[in-house]
Amino acid sequence: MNQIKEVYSRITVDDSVVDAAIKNAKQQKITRFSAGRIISFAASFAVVILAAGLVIFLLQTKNVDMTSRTADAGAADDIVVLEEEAPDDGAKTGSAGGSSKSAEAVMSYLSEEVPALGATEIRSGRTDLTVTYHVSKDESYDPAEITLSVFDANGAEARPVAGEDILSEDGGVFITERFSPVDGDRLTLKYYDGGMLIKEEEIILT
Amino acid sequence: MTDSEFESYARRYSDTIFRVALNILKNKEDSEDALQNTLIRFYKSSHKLSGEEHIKAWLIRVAQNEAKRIFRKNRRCDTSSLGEWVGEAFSDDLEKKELFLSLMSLDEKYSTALYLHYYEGYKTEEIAKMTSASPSTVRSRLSRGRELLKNLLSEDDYESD
Repeated sequence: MNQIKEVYSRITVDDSVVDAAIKNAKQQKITRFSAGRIISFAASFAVVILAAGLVIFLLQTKNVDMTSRTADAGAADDIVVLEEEAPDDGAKTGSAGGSSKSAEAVMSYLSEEVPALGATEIRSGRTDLTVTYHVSKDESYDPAEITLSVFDANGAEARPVAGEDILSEDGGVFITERFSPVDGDRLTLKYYDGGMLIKEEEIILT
Repeated sequence: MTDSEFESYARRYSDTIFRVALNILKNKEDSEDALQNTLIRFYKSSHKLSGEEHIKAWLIRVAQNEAKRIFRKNRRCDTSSLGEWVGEAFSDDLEKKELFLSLMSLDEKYSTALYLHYYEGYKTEEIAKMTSASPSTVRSRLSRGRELLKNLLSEDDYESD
């Protein structure tokens, strides 16, 4: 196995790449908001407005009372409806479908146990579970501090289907991870401090 | 941490960060992006970090997360340019080139465990903490990784005969 060591020792990154990476890292404090992020946010905002308009239009044409549907979340499996509840520690929880209890449990855990990086929104439906963290512009997001994993009923880890950073209105970042869990999946939350596992929480989606 | 200290750590561990990312992404360009993102996180968090080993472990962990993040965005590994790039690094030793390409063909959980253990010299328990796995899982990954590597290399021998 000494050969493995010898082989990897030949794999090095070009000095020019390291120089550029160091330079860019140092510039981050000055140029926090890139044009790309602003465009990305504007595009995302437009998509959200269009989607909201479409949902309202569909609900009106079907003569469905949005309030009663939201209250009866268990019957609304096919549509994810964001509930506007009284904020709990600054957090909002939206849920629909059979996983609403799980979503609330995850939300509660993140609010209470991970105050430094609380999720601001969790939406859970039959087809997806979205966890969004809001990091204000005065905070820095440390990806080593928390990880979320979804395992299927056989214990195999499912990769998240999407993840992205979106610039928020206050200049912070929304970091969204979206999974596609089904009933029986386990959602595992792991909290790290400096890369070391401090706490682990497991929630079974029902 | 001062800017010069940041730069010193960044230069010292750039190869490590790059190799950790390469084990996951199997692609030079994406791994360089992961290096870039990792150094940005490091610069922003450097005031919270201290101690050589702690910093190195933190960088490895963040490099893995950044690489997985890029993997998720790309939704696949683009290994098309790997052979050409590796050809330059191993132009004088085809056997080692085959070994490296075999390592790169392993699932990232095996190649990462093998790299951290045999190159970086980390113990099973230390790798377990860095990869969010139990020590027994890491032992199993090392054993299975060695076995897969052996099979791949013996297949190559067979094919070349």
